[in-house]
Order: sequence, then structure tokens, then C-alpha cells
Amino acid sequence: MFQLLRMCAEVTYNSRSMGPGILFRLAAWVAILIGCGALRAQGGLAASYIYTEASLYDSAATLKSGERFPAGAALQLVAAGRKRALAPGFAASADATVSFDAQRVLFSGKQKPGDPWQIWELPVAGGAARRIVLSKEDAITPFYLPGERIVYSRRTPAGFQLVSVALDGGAPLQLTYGPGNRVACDVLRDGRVLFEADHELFTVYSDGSGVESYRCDHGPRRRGARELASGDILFETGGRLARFTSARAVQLPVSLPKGEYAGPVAELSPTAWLVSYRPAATAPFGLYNWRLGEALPEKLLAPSAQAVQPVLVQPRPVPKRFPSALGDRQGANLLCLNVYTSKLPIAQGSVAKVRVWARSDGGSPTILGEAPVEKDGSFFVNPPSETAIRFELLDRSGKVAATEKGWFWARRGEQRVCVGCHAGPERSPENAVPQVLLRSTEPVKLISHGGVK
Amino acid sequence: MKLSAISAYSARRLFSLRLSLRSLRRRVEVVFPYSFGFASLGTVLIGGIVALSLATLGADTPAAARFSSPIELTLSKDGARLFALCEGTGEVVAFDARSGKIVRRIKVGSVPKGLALSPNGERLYVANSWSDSVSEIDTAALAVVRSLPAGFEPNSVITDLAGRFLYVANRISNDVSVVDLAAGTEVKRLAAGRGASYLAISPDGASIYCTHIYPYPGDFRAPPESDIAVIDTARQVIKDRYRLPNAAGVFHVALSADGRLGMAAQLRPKNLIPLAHVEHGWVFGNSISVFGADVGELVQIPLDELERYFTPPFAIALAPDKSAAYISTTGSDSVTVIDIPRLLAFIRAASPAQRRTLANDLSASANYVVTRIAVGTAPKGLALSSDGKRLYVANRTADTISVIDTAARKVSATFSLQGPATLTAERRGERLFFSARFGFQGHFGCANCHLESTFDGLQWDLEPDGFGQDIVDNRLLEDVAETAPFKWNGGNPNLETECGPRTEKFFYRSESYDGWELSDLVSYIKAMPLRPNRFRLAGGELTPAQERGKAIFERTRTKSGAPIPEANQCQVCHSGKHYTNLKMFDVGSGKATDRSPMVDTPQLNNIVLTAPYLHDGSARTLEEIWTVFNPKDTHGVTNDLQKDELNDLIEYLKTL
Repeated sequence: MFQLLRMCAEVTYNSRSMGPGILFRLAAWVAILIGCGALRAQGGLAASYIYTEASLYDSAATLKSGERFPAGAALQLVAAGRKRALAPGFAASADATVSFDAQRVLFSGKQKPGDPWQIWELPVAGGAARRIVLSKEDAITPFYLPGERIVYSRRTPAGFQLVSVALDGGAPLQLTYGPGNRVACDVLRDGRVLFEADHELFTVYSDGSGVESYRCDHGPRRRGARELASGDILFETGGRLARFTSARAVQLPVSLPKGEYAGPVAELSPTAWLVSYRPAATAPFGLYNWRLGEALPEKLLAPSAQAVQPVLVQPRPVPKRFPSALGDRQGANLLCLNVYTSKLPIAQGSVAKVRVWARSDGGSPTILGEAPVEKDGSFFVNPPSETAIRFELLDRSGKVAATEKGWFWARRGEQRVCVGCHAGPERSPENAVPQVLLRSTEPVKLISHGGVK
Repeated sequence: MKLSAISAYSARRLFSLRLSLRSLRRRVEVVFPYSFGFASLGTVLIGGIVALSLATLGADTPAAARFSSPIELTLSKDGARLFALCEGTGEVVAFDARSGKIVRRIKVGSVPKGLALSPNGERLYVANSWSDSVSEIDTAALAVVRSLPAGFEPNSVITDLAGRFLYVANRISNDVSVVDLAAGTEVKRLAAGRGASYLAISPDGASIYCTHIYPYPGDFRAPPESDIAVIDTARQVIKDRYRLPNAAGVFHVALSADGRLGMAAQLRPKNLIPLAHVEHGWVFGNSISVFGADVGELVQIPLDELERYFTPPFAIALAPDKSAAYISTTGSDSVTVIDIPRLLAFIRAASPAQRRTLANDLSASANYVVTRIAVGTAPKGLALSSDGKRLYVANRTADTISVIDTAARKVSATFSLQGPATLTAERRGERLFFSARFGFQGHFGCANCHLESTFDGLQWDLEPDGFGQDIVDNRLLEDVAETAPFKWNGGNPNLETECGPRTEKFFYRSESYDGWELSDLVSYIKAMPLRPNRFRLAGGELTPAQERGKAIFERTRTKSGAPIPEANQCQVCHSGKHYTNLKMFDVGSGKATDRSPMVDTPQLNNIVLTAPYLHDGSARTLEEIWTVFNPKDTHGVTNDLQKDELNDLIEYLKTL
């Protein structure tokens, strides 16, 4: 109910700022009131929801290229107090996500036990499932994007990679690159795709540009993240739940009842969550309604099997569409404003060059070349796109002053600017023309050794 | 009414009619015909028929729709009456501060911008920005009793504590008028910052603080600089200036009741780095300059968060007990609340190095911002009751006043200015113009660069052309409807192109206006009037210097008698009503970093207001256009002119 009231408030608020959309507002209120009535009629937990039932569940398996549900899984729909199999014709089904209008469900499923996971869609009200992605490899964790597109994770020789495709087909667009596993977690309301990799959370725009870690506080393993209505990112870490808020650069703990939690969580209201929880590690995860602050969560389902991945069947705001601005140019233009803006101890004036490394999906790292770093700490290079790269800073003697630990990539035609080297997302740029752009507005050519052309 | 006028009017009415269809438009992706050229006779006739049909439906005229646009607030001394200054209707609306009932509407001058109560509460002073005057209102009679002089475009007023002198910040003349209230005459002018705008007095009355909204024209591509001028009220001189590095767009300033803490609302633009994306506060820092004995050296603090922005900060109200600061953020439709003790503790704990970079730390606000309170659209002026319990917020484009219960930190009531029941396309467009909700994560909106629908005096490095290339100077938006093409390279044939997908892709970096909204926004921009020219004599005649400048502007021969090629005469390219022939030329001002030397001929109306000049803002003054950037006489023949002749030319340009 709180959720619905909040939606009412949001609809009214947004409509007001849009202009006098009286009819729109009225229609929204009527729809929400009907929804309220329907929920009241169900009793108990008012909202309908879907979850994955499995006898075995390893939430971290995908990041190790493994199988999360080695003994199979089945999606269950709980509506009006009754439970039913959502995709009864499937040998396995999991990873449900509900369309913005709450009419359809996207999920990963196997028609036969030996099949790879594929992406399917079916109406919430019932009916035949429609295959969205046909792949020889596993395709899992789908999410709806605005503009009738989806994003999902596809197994490749380099690991799971994020891929976007139109709901009605067309060419898939790979969003992530380089060795390692990336698993989609959510689509944020600002349009970015939230994903997990290396046990950390990252975001990328829906055209594959702008990849970056969500925070740079380097906490313990994070997975199963979801965006709450407040904009906070709630995730599981070490069997507990924690959150990122907009205001803080570091993870904040959530004060929880004792026990173990498996992400993701479904937000029932600003004060209640539907969680996968078990009081002790020996028990399977069950679904619980936890009212924030209360000592014990309320059990909803008897845990005969693992009950995980809860998702509510209710309308939600459509995320903002991201207007891709990739240019028609080779490689990616990467500008760093000031390498000395860093959480690392890099002495002012100590850096002479930046070395750029690349790594193919299966290969070992190779040096693409080096470029000078200006006195103000700026450099501007054009490495290849869709390739895993990382930077290394060298002092005047050629000794490594700082090394980027992770690999990242850029899309073809992408132009990107960094505040510094490991500056953290909380650091906004200083307003100054970087000296490297006063020298030339063209990227500095990378060379293997010696000077600069 | 001419047929063309009818057709244009009918087009506007069509926009109005669509109000009832707005719910449908979200479901049906209608591609609206943006252009209402009505070039053909047939179209004109159809337009006329539509207009007549609408007339029979009893449609009102566009002129009937005048929106109050409350912009500033103040309370009577006993707190019983709330005065709302309405920019749109040119009036002060007196409310019963408790009930919200309108007591009186008092007509003042044109486009009023600032108001202040006299120390004894008997008089209310209103700065009439387009009338260049101050209205004096008797608060008992609720009537204007006198008109006082001011400089060009008075924006804010305040009296000294004795009520003897009135100080008026003048935005165009960049100064502060000192008016003797007994005599009703201006006795002094004090040089303030560029675009002098907002005033606050210290509790002991010794100092008056004055901000300015446009940065000083500095070196090309240097960080913007602004300051707060401090007036010694005893001597009536500027005694100090607080330097505000990298600030541009400084609005209200406020002092605490004990005089130990000052706060000024400001933007910190990031115009010198390529606008390649928006996240991480890439385009603007929404900030407060904190100064005074409580903090020592001035420090700039951020209002933003990592994923949310609160922009632009406009007005500040400080609780009498210095427990909280309230800041209206116009584009974000909210009021930010700062816990002042926590803020001071945070600042005092910071090292000197941390204080210098604090404004760029998006996680800092978590240490002192306690909440954001949603109010109406485009909140501007604030008024806090003397007990600090009620905060009034002027919602400019909502035509309402939000009343905030400061203990509950919630809106407890909303007063209505009782404006037109139906929004016009222009008004809807105005709301969009001031809103930041279309920028990625609500980072910024049109009004962040076009401050209060004008310009920002800055040059920006936009991304689509590459990094460091095609630096562009921001231009004034007034009266631009007939000056297509747009953008310095003439790349946008109309405003729909200028403000539509291009803005979404390269500025906002997020889904923005649909076709209807874009149409509304363009309607608003096209309707922006040109502000009065302050340099023409009342009768329209020119001064001798202006006459001499006009002759230079229109000359066809050099001083030696040689003919000037037509393409190199000022009056040829800068011709017509807007002093532009709407064509592209290479006038030799291109830089190595420009992709093309061809530039759109800019309109010259009110050109004197918008320094710096040239497409990239490289000329700090009009004179530099000719003395620095025209060595080969490719931008008109000017090298045969002496200094005094260039001065004459400038005097003439001021009149355009």
C-alpha cells in the first residue's frame, strides 16, 4: 500500500511538473486505486510476486563461470495467496523480471534439461512463452530496457558478457568486453545498466559506453543488487545486505535480523522488503516479509527448497532512454584531466608518461604504447575500442608510479574524460583547460619507446 | 488582423487545444509538425479558418494570459503579512501570512526583481528592473507612494539599518546606487561586480554584501571569477571583496543573525573541460560560498550528491538561531536544508588542502545536508518567519507559495497567486526551460547556462566536434525567433533542431523533450522579448558620439576615401531589424582549433551586455574585436580608425 501511495504521489508530482496533464493524472489515480482494491482482496502480502525455486542455489557461481542452479530451478508466481508454476513447460526457469507495465515477464529458461539457458518472455496473465534470444551458449539474467530492448548476460569464451537486443530481434549489441564474467543486476532509472563483475558493482550505458565501477570503496563481495525507489542500491554482501546511497561514496550497512540473506531483494514499500532469508546456514532460503527495523522477518513461504530472486508484479517507472552519442571515428578518445587527482599516493610532478596495456579475451596483456603526461597531469590518447585496456603511470626514470588494477574498455567513437587516476566517482572535475589540449586537440599517438611523434 | 498573424495565432491556439490530449501523447509517439511556416497561401487560409473556428469557441487571446511568476518574498515586521513580488504581472501581492488569503495587489513597475522592507516596517521597496526605478510602497495603505531613481536594470534593494539610505544593485550598469530616502535622490554609485544582483546587510548594519550573476570577462579560456563586494555603509564605499574562484552565476547572499556567518548561492561551471558526459558533476557544481568569522577563509561547499543534483541554488534563508540554512534550488523544484552546526564542524575539521577541493567532493554534502523538501516548480525567493518556524517559498512557474513547517520539514500549506487557469504553450515552455529534470540525474537545465533566460558570459567546450575544438561563446536568447540559423557554425536551421535531439544527445545525455514539449519550449524561447535598450535617449535621437559611431558603422569608404568592399562594410552583414543578414562569413576570427572559419553573423541587439565577444569569446571587449582580432580588416575595415573613433563606434553599438 505504501508503495502504491508513493506511486500516487510520484505520478501527481511528475504530472504537475509536466504541465496540466489532468487526464493523465486521473487515469493514473484510477489505475492505482483499482490496484489498491485488488491488493486488499488478496490478504497477507498484498502484492503478487514471482520467485525462483531451486533445490540448490549458488549465487556466486556465474562469476566463476559456473551454474547457479545445478539441480534445476522453477519460477513460481504467487498471486491472490496462491502459488503456481509460471513456466510449467520448461525444464528450468529463473531470473524473472517484470515489464514496466507489469503485463509481461522476461526470464531465462531451458526447454529441456540439456539445453543452454535462453531468454524468454511470457504474459503474466498466462499464455505461450516467446523466445527472445536464441543462442548456443547460456543467456541469463535478462532485464527490460526502455525502447523495447533488453539486456542480458551471454556466456562467451571470455566469460559472461552483457548484450543488448531488441525484443523483436535484430542484431545483438555487446556492451562489455575483456576477460571475466559480467552479470546484469538491474536497469537503473537514469538508464544505466547495473552489473556485477569481480564481486564489485559497475554501470554501463545501454550502448556499452561509460563503463565504471559504481563506487570505489572496494568493499567485500557484492552481488544481487537492485535499485530501490529512493535511488539507493541494495545488495548482498557476505550473506548480509548493504546499500549505496546517492549521498555517500561508501557502502552503508543495513541493520538486519540475524541470519543469512541472498540478493536480490524486492521492495514492497519504503519500509518493507521481500527478502530471501534463512535464520541459519543449514536451512534453505525462504521468502520473508521484513518490515525495516523489526526484529524478525515474517515468513511467507515454507522453505522446502531455496526460494530466491523475488520480484514484484506491479507497474514501475520506465527508465530514461540513453541517447547514444558515439561518433564515427576509430578507437576511443580518452582524456585524463589530472593523474594527480587520485586516492593513490602519486607525488605531484612525479609522472612523466602513461603506458597503455591491452588484453585480448584469451591472451596475455600486451603494451600498446606510451604517451607523455603533461605537467598538470593531463594526457590524451586514442586506444583501440572494444578491447580491454588499462593504464600505468611511469615516472621520469621509467619506473611504474601507479598501476590500474582492473581492465576497462571503450566503445568505437566514444569520447571519455576521467577526472584523475582512481579519483573515485565522488570527485567532480576541477574547471581548467587540460594542458594536453592546449598542445593539440588530437590524441597523442602511442609509441612503444622513446619520444612522442 | 493580417492573415499571416491569424495563421500564427491559430497555430498557438492549436497548441493550447492539445492540453486535453496530453495524456494521450505519452502513449502515442506523435511526431508533431514542428514548423509552422505557413508559407503557402492555402496553408494561410486553413490557418485563418482554424483561427476563426477557435474564436467562435470563445477562445481567449494570448495577451490575456499573464502569469504572476512570484520571484521574491518578504514578511511584514509582525509577520502577519506576506508580500510576494510577481515578475510576470508587475505587482506586489500582499497575503495574509497565515490564511494565504490575498489582501491586495499593488501594481509596480515593469519586470520587478527585488523587494525589501524598511527597518521600521512602514515601507516596502521594489526594484523595477525594466523601468530602472524603485517603487516605494506604504505598507499600511498598501499603495505605491513614490518612485525612486536607480541605475540600469535594478535587481535588488536594501536599506541601511537607520532607514536613511537605500542601496540598489543594478544588473546592467554593474553598480550599486545609493539613494537618500529623505531627498529621494541618488547620491552615489558604487562599482560592483558584473551583473550586480543581490544584497544583504550585516546585523550590525556596518556592511552590505553584493553579489553579481555574470563572471568578469577574464583571459580567454581562464577559469571564471566572481566576487562579493562589501560596502562600508558608514563611508558608502566598497571596502572589501570576497573572491569566488571558479564561480559564475552568484545569486542571493545571506548573513546569520550574529553576523559571524555568510552564505552565497552560486554555480561552479565546468566550461573549460570537454562536455563529454554529465555524470560526476561534470557540467556544474551547485555550491554555497561560506564566509565570515565562523569559518575564517571563504570556503566553497557542494550541495550535490553522487547521483543527484540540486540546481541552481538561488535564495538562502538562515534560521535566527543559526541552526539551519534553507536554499531554494530552482531547477530541482526543491529546498535544500543544511544543518549549520554540522556544516561548521565539518568545515573546521577540514585541512586547508581539503577546503580548497571541497566544492568538488560530491560526498561532502552528506555531512551537512539533512533533507531536500519538494516544493512547486521553479522555487526562487524565500522568506523565513522571525521565529524560524515557517518558511515561505515563491514557486515562480507554479504561481504558488509553498509554506514549509521547518520543524516537520514538510510543506504545510500552499498559497495560490490565482493566475490563469489554463497554461499557454509559452508558459509550459517556460516551466521546461527552468527545469533540470531532463538532464542526466537532474544535473542541469536550459536556465543553468541561460541564467534567468539570458546568458552566462562563458565559453564552452562541447563534445561532438572533439575535445578542445570549436569553443563556443554563449549567446543572449532574447528576440532570437527571426535570427535563424542557430549555433555559431549555423548548423541548426531552427530552434527545434537547436533544442531537440542535439540537446538531448550532447548536453543532457538523457531522454529529454518529446515533440510536444519541444514545441512548448521553442514557443517560450521565441516569445522572449528584448529588454529595453538603456543607451538610447528618450526621444530616440542619438548623442553626438553615437551619431559619429553610426556614420562609421554605415560608411562605405575608408578615411582616406578608398571604397570599402560591400562585403566588408559593417552595415551590410549587420543589417536588418536584428543587425544580421543571417549569413555565414569568414571574418578572420577563426582559431586553429576551429573546424571551420565560417561563422554565423550574430545579431547585435543589446550587444553591449554580452561580453566577451566573437564566436569563441576570445575578445573580452567590443574594442578587442577590432584592435586584436581584426589585423587584416577582414571583419570590417577598422584599422584606419583611431581610439576615439572606435569609442564612437562602441557608443553607437550600445544603442542597437
